[in-house]
Amino acid sequence: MSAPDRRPARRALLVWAVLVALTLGSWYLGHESDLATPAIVSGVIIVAALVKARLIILHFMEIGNAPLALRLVFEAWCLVVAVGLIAMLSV
Amino acid sequence: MDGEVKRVPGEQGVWVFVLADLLVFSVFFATFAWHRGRDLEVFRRSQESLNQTFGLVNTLLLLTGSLAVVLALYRARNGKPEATRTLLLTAIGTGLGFVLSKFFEYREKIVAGYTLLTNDFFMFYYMLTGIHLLHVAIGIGVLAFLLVNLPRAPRLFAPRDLSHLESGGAVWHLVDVLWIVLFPLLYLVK
Repeated sequence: MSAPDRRPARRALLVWAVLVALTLGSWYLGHESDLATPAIVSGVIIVAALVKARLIILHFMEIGNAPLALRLVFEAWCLVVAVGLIAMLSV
Repeated sequence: MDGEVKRVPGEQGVWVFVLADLLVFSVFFATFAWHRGRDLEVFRRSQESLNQTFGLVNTLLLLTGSLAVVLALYRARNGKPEATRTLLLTAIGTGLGFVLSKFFEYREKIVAGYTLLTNDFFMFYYMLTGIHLLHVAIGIGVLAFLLVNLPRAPRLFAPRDLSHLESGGAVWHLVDVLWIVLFPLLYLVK
């Protein structure tokens, strides 16, 4: 048997570290109310959330390696939810 | 991912379920955001009574559970069922931790007098986190099914055909994705 390929596991760990960093960053922003206007803080928090969702979908669900049509459906979901929520939260 | 042959992971049917669920939850997200816009002061004041630390811990638990499921799949692909088993158990542990944390969070809220009937914000809070909690329970069930069937049917986890593990993993990651949007929407947005 050939040696197991460790590269996917290392990449998964890296993705996890980015996800944790974005989570802690968003949590901090949610705590600090005076950094920027509410609309900007909310916008940054929502973008971070959908970036995280997209990372999980592409790397953990392996949709990044799926046929383009399926990938585009997921990409569209991330984009529509991000834009829709930012628009609705900023009114 | 780079240069590999494009393929649909798992069974195709699981993606119908995943996409349908994402669509249903995006309607929930939009409904919440719309009601929030109509009653901003109540929603902001109610949000302040939430304990964001619970939300943070829950997020870290689910992210770590997702990592464990991904690593379980990689180990299975490398023909290491024992490591797969340990990692699946780890993921189930994070899921149970999430349920336990939610129990304490709900108790804290109910003791403080916040119920489903307090106002629209808390109606959404209990409904959305409750529906999500049901998803966590289903996810734990799926992982437990995979774990129980691992020693009984080693061929189920033969490196060549891991579609069961890929499908179960997709359901588990879906639970993670939904929470990742729900957490900031309920706990963090200004």
